[in-house]
Amino acid sequence: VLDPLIASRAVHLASSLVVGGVAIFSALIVQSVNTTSFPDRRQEQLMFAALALAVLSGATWLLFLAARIGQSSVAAVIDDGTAWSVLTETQFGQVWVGRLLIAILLFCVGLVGPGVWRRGLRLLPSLQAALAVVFVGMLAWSGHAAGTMGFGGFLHFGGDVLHLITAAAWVGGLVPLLMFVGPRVRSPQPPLVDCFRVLRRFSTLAAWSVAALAAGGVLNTWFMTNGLRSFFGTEYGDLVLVKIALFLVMLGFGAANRYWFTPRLLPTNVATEEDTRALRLLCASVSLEIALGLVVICVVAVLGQLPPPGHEHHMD
Amino acid sequence: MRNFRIIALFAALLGCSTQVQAHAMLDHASPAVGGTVATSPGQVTLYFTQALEPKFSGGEVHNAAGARVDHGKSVSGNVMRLSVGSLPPGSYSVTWHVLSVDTHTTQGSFNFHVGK
Repeated sequence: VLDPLIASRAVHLASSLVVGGVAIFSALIVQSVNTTSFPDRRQEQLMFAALALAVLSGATWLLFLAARIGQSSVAAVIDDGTAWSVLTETQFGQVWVGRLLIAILLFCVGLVGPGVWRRGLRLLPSLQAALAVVFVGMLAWSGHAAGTMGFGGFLHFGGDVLHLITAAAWVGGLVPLLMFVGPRVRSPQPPLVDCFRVLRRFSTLAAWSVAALAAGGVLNTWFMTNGLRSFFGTEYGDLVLVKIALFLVMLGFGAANRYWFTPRLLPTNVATEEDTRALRLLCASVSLEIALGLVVICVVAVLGQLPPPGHEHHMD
Repeated sequence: MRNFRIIALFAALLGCSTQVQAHAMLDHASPAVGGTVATSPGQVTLYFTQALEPKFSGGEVHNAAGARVDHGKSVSGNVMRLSVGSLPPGSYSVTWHVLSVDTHTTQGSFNFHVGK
């Protein structure tokens, strides 16, 4: 049976990562490569759609969580005030209110951004990226890292924030990357110079993100499994191994994009048949990478609900 | 067929909710779990492994006859205190339920004894 709480968590994680990914992609990749086609209307629409989905799934996450806490139905916890108490009287709810305010700010920046940008205020994409990074990073308060106490708690929380932000930069950024590169396959004379530069720049950002993502992941796993003592032979550890395996396959696709497909796009404005073929293969590779990223997010959503073996404490 | 397998994999992955268990565990208590104190403790203090949400955390103390003897709770950080006033000698049971700040619920119980 599909657990609505885990499903809400998965949709919220995915949409939040795309919000972060689009903002980082716009600020660090596209803006610095091709200012003539910036801001991109399609990227703006993707940002609005991801934000709307994040807000909606955030609301359902809160409602299903309240239903689980109150051991009742969603309708009942709305009716008896439990959902309101979860929103206003728990750390999770307060973080949700803060993230909702940031989402509203991001909507506003998205609405006025392009006009202001054209009038010369070039800092706006950076402001949008900063807001989106905070929006994604605050998610760490909704997971296991929020519960670790003492100095280790700061390390665990910091590792989780790093993990989330770098996941947004890489996995979330793959969606706007595909939207940037995809239309150029169909175009009769694609501007491949921009495409080549965007791909190279994204690839460098992704490489750094992967390193930080792995460091954050190791830190997370260390705290969750009691210094790896409770890693092997536990359901939690098994799922982390599945996540690592999927991560490695994604890395393989990323390496193929960087070292195989991208170099075939010669930095020229004249598109050849070979260029178009390489672009088509690259789009397929990025699409598969996104699909694998979605599976990883589903694994993370399940991990968030499992009892971490490092937290278990038995009293005799 | 292949699409069906992928959907089934997703459904199986998302359907692992039956494994959901508790996270904040009782680390220690005063009076100690299963322990004996010479005189009434005035309050029962429970220390957990994670910080708690006061609104959704609570406990009860009952005497051997099943009557409730606690009156009031306070929760701060990872500590919950249940006021019990002056308890006559005898056995007491403590039941607790908590919501940790990472939004997971747990519950449990233990006994202690007052008197020699």
